[in-house]
Amino acid sequence: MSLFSKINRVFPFLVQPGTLWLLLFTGLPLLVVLNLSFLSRNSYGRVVYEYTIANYTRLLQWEELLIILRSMWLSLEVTLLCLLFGYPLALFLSRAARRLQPFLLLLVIVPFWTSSLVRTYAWITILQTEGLLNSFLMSVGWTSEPLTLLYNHGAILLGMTYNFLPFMILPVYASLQKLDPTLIDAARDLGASSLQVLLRIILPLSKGGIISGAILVFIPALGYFFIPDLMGGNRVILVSNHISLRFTQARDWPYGAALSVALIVLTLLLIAMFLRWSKRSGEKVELA
Amino acid sequence: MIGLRHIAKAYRGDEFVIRDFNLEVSAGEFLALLGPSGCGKTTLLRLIAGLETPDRGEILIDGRDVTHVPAEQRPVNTVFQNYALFPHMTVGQNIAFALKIRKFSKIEIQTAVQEILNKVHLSGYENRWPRELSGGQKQRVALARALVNKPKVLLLDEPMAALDENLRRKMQLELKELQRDLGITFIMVTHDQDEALAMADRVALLNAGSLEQIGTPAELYNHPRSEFAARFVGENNFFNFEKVAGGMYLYQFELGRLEIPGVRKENFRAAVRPESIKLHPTAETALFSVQVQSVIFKGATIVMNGRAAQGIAILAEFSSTAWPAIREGDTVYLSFSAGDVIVLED
Repeated sequence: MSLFSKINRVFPFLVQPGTLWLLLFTGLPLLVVLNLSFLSRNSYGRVVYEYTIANYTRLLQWEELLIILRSMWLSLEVTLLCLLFGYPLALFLSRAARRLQPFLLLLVIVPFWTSSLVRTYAWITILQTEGLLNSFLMSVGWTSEPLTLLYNHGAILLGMTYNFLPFMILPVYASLQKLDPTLIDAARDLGASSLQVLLRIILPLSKGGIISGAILVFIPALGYFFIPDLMGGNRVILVSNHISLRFTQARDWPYGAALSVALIVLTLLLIAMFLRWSKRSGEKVELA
Repeated sequence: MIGLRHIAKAYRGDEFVIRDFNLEVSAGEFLALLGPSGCGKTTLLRLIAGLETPDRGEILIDGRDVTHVPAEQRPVNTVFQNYALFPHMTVGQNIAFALKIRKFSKIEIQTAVQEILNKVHLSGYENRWPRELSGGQKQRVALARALVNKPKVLLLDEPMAALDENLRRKMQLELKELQRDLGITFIMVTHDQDEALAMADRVALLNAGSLEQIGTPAELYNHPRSEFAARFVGENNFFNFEKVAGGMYLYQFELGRLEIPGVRKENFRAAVRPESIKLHPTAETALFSVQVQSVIFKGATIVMNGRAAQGIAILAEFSSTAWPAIREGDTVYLSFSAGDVIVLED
């Protein structure tokens, strides 16, 4: 019996409002979006109740698919960068002195108590042509002309990676902390060098954390639009800002809804894939 | 074979776990490091394995100073207390781990794994996962994983601690046989005196980071040097002896007087083994009398707990032919002879 049904049996009054809450604020809006995606709009951009699948056929056009693919590629890049920078940090955290660990974890989390929008603007002031970094580089004399650090692909990657780093660090840290240190002793005892211990013991045994982290980074990154907008200079069309533009400037809500549904379905498929893969390798993945 | 010279190790500054420790182990020997928990025996094992570095002193293996050689380069392998099998590898992969690192060929690895699995009676288990094994099987895998390297020394950290009583007895015998068979030096950490006495060629008794006494099991049992050793190895009765003025070798102890020839001390503390205590039919020939408090039947012997004068507890073990003559509440007459008095160092 699942925990949910157990609780439901014992405290029905507790769960039913919760279920209701979920239905009301998650289920219902999703149904509205799903319904919307099959509607049409008139030439003024108003939604009209004529059911059609035109929005979905439009989705299958090459330019539209390209946007989705480009978004997935960006999310993948961000995920890999988060892993690249987050894993060593998580490893360092897990091996730091016990007393220090809560404090170091706090350092990872504290910046994220500020709105990510504000932090994105902070990056812009650092990176812009007359920004902090450029004026520093020029005053030191390492460069005579300001570098173009903003409004390109690199800037998007930087902003996104910065934003999602803790979502990789925390699950990896959690899995590393559960790793039995005598396994590392045993590997060394059997002749493994530090690098071999990392590659053959620590890395495979923290796979659960890596998969959790990858899901937690990849999937929200797919839907993030303001960092590509603000740091990419509105030049790169991704599925996220594509959707947001359908609802705002383009006044094409039905197509925006269809894109949203496609994104949700894609996301669910990816999660299922990840989980299946991790289940087969016998790793425990925790998303909570 | 292995030499520990003036080893000292402290954790957190000056909290010494091991202090000025000296030990020589010869090739092919089975040595048990025995002691209560926290006496530093596991630290000692980790120092030999290279998982810790001593603060002072040197460690020699095969005449070579390995004090600063890292664990992965020492000809030593360890069976860890909780076995530390790699959960993401099968039994076969666990055993092959060290050989793969040493870049053995696939065929060599396969033969070696089969051979060692055979030796620990686990043929056909190479594709099992550690989580599918029982405690005894896990221990065999840990043993195989260490032995497949053909180490010069095998270190065992409380290898039986996680096994149940029956299995423990069986594995003790098997391990002992295996050690004789392979001729590898074994150093085993244990807090179980029966285990140490049953398995080891020599037992090193540790107390608070120092070597209390080292010797064969018989030496340790028959001639414990200190009260600590006497208390830790086997059970004992303890008495304080004091020379009687005028008498050559006559000593007074809590329950009477006894002539103990050959002792030169004025007063000393001594241990008497329960099985050294003899039963007498009447008071005349006995040394003291005891009121029986409990009698435990153990098969070949019976163990009696009693209280003598001044409330002194007496533990005695008799052949069970005395059974059922002794009952709770009876008064029995007991003695021990001078030869059974184990004189302890101060």
